[in-house]
Amino acid sequence: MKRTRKFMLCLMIMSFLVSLQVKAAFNASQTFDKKCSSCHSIGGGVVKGPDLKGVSDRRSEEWLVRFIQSADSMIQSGDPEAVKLYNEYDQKDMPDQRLSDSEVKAILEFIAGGGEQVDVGEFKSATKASPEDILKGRSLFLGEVSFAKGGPACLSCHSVGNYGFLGGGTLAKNLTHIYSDYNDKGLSVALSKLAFPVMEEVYADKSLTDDENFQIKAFLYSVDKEGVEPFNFQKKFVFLGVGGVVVLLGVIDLVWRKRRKKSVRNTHGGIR
Amino acid sequence: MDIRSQVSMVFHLDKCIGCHTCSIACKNVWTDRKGAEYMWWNNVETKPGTGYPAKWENQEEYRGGWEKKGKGIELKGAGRYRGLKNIFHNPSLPVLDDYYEPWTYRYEDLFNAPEGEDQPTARTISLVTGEPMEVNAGPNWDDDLSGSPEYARKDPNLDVLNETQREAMFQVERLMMFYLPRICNHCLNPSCVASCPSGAIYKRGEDGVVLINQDKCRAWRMCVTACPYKKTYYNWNTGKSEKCVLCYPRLETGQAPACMHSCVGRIRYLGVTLYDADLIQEVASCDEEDIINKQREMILDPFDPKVIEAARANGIHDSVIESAQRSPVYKFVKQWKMALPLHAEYRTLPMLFYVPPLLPVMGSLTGDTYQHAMEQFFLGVEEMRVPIKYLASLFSVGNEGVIRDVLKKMMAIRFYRRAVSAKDFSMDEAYKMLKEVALDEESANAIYRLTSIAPFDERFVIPPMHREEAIELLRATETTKGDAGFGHREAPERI
Ligand code: SF4
Repeated sequence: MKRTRKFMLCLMIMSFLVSLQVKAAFNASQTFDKKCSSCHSIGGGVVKGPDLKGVSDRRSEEWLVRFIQSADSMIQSGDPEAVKLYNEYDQKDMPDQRLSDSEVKAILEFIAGGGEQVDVGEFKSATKASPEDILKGRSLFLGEVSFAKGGPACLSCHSVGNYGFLGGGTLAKNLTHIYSDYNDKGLSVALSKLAFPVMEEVYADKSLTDDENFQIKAFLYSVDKEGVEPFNFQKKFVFLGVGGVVVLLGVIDLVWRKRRKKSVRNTHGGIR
Repeated sequence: MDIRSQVSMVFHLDKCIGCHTCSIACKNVWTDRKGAEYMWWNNVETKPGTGYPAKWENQEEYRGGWEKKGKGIELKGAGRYRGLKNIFHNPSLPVLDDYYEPWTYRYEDLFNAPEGEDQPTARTISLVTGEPMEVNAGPNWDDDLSGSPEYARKDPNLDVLNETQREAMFQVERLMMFYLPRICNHCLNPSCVASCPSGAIYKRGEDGVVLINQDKCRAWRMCVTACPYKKTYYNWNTGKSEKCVLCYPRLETGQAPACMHSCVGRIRYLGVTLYDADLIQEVASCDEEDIINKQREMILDPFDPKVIEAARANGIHDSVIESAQRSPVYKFVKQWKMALPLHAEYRTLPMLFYVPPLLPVMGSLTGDTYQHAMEQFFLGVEEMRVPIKYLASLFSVGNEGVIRDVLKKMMAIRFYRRAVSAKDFSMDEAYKMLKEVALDEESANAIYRLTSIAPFDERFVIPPMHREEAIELLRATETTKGDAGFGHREAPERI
């Protein structure tokens, strides 16, 4: 009995140590590639967000950790530097990253070290897309054609222009102007990595093929160019709901118009 | 021929004194339970009057019974499509106010009231909510024309009369009324059975009693709408519907139903009739003017050897056939053609028949004396206090001839018996009258006997039912005592 208990204790300690090992194996380079590189470069100039070369010299480490974990809440709380940065970069949101303090620090260290120049390669510009590419991209986006690896259609969560029933998905960002937001190369990189908090998991092993990537980009480019602003259904839903109930009650009243509406006896017991 | 046996009833309205003993007997036996207080499986209403539930005869209001559609018939308020459309909200249901809110009195107030200037009173308490309430309706609120003209004038049957006839009925000198005791008619073409989405209602094979299976009932209440006589009731406590069971446990042990047994006026008769079930559809969907005759034709002669043979072939026991031969119902309905169904136009083929009342018809005011005998009866039909048309709207689908025939028969027998016993009427005249209504002396005496002096076992010829003994061979019946039936609530099985 005693021996089993000792053995169990050993096992627990060992597994704890192993888990520490795994933690330590956090790969800053890969994480940067996955989570940051769609918007940031290290010494490669501005992509969507600022160039991060020498960022640790510009800001305190504590500030950086907080900002990376939740830029949004810092801006909301009115941190002057965060607000300034936000305005400087056309008020583009930076998604919250689910990283621990130590993980953020590891990434900052990686950036300070100059990073590795990961070559993202060349991407065909959307301006060269044929009408066919745009059409294919549209079908993929709307889910009329499914993605080769089975990722869910974009419209499930996003809206774009005036596409889709009742203005498309409302779970995530509207993508009408995402093309100008990200610029051509940035959008390709973002689409190939899909490194946004929810998408990251949803598309984990369902990434887009190069063709799909291009077609989607081409479609988003055309939408951006058309510049049709989405119709705001959000507020209309309330009215639709109220109106719907009124119409429904009207229909019920009509279908059952011959129903008995009151007793044959009036309130004093007499007969009507 | 598909011969079946049906226990059916005759109520002789001339004899009903409106004492409500029948209703009380029934209440004490069957509906003295929570949720059933408002139910009167047997009720007695005054005619003209609105009845219980109020205006139950107005089928535009309650949508009960069948209506003719093309060659066939359809349920007026339920059925396959209408039933499905209305399954979650049945729009023609009577509400509690159409019946009445049942009440009791807080008797302890009489003992617990603090000392004061006034006598303590027992407060009226609702049996539904338990709160104090004002009583302004009851199951026989318009009894004996009380509340007239508020109630009597709103009798749906008055619609057949014109303004003058109606006014004439309510002149004080001509005012008349009679009582109409009602129970479930145990119909041959029951609309309640047809309307039930759960298939909970059935007609017993051996005696035609219509019953609601309390385990299968799922409270859709389609039967409450579908029964044109409003004789199925919803129990709000158990969440099941209930109706008159014709006291089948009493019948099975050879006793008359409680309402009949207790009847003070001895107006009630019960016996088996044999009928041809193959004809049900044809009769139920025939033209309105034929219904009365065709329904009578459905009832078969239990002495006819062919009928006996076919009945035996259908598994009807000899003892039941023998009982059908002695049945007072057979005599009143078929042999003497004196008993008529109530509102046969609802097409449910009711098996409770009424001998229409003669007394209010005969009564007249000569000078200052009210007389019951009208010498000029056969001539003075127009002078009658109750328009035949009104009775025809109740008992013969508007056919006044049928009613007149029955009343004439009753009248003839009355004069004949007067000539026999009181000898203040010429025998020759009496014979002439009998001849006119095609009755021989023997039948006249038989009708007189059954109407006036028949003892218990002539009025109630209860077929020997072998059900109890049969069941006891298979099951220990005492084990279900207190575990089944009305008021017993079996929680639905949940997994
Ligand atoms: S007990 Fe008989 S006499 Fe009295 S009300 Fe009922 S049916 Fe009529």
